[in-house]
Amino acid sequence: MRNLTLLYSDAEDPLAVSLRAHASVEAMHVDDLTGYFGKEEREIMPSFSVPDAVRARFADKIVLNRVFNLKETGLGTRLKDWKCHEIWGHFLLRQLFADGSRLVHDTGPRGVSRTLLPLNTQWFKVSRLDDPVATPRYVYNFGGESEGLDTLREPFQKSVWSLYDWREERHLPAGEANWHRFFVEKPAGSPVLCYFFDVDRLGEDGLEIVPLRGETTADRQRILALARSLSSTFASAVGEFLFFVEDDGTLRFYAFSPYLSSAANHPAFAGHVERWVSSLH
Amino acid sequence: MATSLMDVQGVIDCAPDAIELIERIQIEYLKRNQEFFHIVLSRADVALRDKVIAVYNDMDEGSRARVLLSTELGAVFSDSLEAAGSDPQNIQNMMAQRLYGLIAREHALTRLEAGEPASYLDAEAKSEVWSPLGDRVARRVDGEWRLSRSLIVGGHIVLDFDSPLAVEFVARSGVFSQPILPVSEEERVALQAKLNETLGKIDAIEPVYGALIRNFTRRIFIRKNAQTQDEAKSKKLRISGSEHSSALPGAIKLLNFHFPERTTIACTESLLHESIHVMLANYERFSGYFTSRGNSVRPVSPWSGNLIPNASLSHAIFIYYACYRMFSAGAAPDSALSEADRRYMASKIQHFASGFLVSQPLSGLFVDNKPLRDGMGACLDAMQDRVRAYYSEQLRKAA
Repeated sequence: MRNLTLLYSDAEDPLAVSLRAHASVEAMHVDDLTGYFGKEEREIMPSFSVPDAVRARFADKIVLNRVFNLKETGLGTRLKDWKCHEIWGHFLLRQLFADGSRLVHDTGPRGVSRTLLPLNTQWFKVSRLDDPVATPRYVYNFGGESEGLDTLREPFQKSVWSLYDWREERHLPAGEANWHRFFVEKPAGSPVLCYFFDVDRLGEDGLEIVPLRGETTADRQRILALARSLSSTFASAVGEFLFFVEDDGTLRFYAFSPYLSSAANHPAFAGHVERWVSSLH
Repeated sequence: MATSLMDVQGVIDCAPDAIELIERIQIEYLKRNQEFFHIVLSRADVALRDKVIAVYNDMDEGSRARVLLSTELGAVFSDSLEAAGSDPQNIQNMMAQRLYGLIAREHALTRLEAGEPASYLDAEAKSEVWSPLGDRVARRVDGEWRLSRSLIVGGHIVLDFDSPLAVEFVARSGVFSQPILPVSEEERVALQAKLNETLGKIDAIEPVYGALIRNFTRRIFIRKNAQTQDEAKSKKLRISGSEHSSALPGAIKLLNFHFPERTTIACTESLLHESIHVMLANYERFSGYFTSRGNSVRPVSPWSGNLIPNASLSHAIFIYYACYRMFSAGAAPDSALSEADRRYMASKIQHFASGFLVSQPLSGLFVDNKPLRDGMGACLDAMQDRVRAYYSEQLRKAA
């Protein structure tokens, strides 16, 4: 019995790589559904006629929505050709997900989906948790302004969208280089990666703490509580996050990511995926 | 009469009493400016206050209203809010001095136009004196002051190409950060005709929106950074755009609207979009801001995907809802527009609707230290519910 249905947009997605041939998972690339989308010239909304057999693959299933970006997909191209905003694709897919028993990850383009928030929005939310965690100090200029840099210790320019690259930003889009510039203090202390699978259900069994330099003194129960809060805040039963433990013991949160691209390199990752999928039966 | 957020919603929805609601909002705004004027004077030094009162008493009601509704007075008001907390007496005197400048210029230009002596101008060192509304300018030619009137669209909206406000450089502005190319007389007149035609189309689709634009937008700043769209592209300049800034109440800014690619049917969106910003900013001036003014965290606009201030998102939701309404009406088979214009309007509806189709309530997108003001979240989410329910129903029917 397959309880988990995975829909993904990127063939390199670590969960797609792990799960698309898994016997217990129904896996589909979003472009397996693209043929069911259509657009009549006179209609405003694209149509989405899904055969019952396909619809049944979502009905009463846990839906793992890994459709994070339509830009590189056939569906994205079609929507663009039809001059339709990307949101229509997510809106129509959501009608399919509505048949499922549970949805893992929010739907929508970046910044709108609760799963894909820019860094300073993440920090805003994390600093307002019931048990708040320290977040980086930063300056976010408006337009062409250039102010406030002198208030930061060791500032470096980042993209608000770049969840990795904490030593030097390698993915600064041209549009952000000189407009609405975003500067962050360079992290201090020891970096720690944490990834989690369904910590609400699995507790510590669904949690992995990976010190990236030496060992970490971070309290495991505190990290578990943080993982649970992030899972809820970012509507993501699975995900990874990076924090630094500073010399005075301060735990500073840097980024949450649903992509799991760092976690996927960790030896225990495959075991966690397997344990999670088994737990869904 | 007190106004509420429901009045704003009534205008956006083109309720039967929408024109009355527009007037009510504008009268409250006028009263707030009047009150500001009185407060500044009451705190200024006596000699300066007496000087202002003497000129004010010599002005007719029309001139007074023109000053009170002018972008320049609004700008003094905006600056005074920015300066709150600084050296009070110094600031109050500076504000009073600026108010004196406004009414003295309005008074002097009115006298000049009537052929009466205007001593204020004789003492003026500059060779150009603009009215606070931007509708008139006196220029000194061979020692004589000559008055000319600005081009007007929609009956009384000033087109402003040259005033000191129009040629400012503002780093944070997408329009006013652009270089300035001169606009020829022919181009000015053509632009005036283009915007009048645009307003005519809006009137034909939804007269309430035409009235909204005429009531709230008093002045349009025009900027040109390139002769053609290709030139703007090759020089990597901003190609085209429109903007409203709360620092310049009652005014909107247009960039490169002389390009033929900016068709009148496309301009309908810009005029409505920016004029709703003006209305909402006026409303906020007397009733309080919808959100805090901080910019360090910004929500993402579902429509543009850009990070924009909370204040802008609160406006954007009203604006896209109004655009959704206007474009749906314009695209309808019984609309007064040409077939080509109807097709254009139909093609844009999907964009205006899209932002309302996100999974979470739009009120949940805000990232503000302060909660949204009472009733605001419900008001925004109700617009979203209406659009989303319509397309969900369409889907259900199609299934």
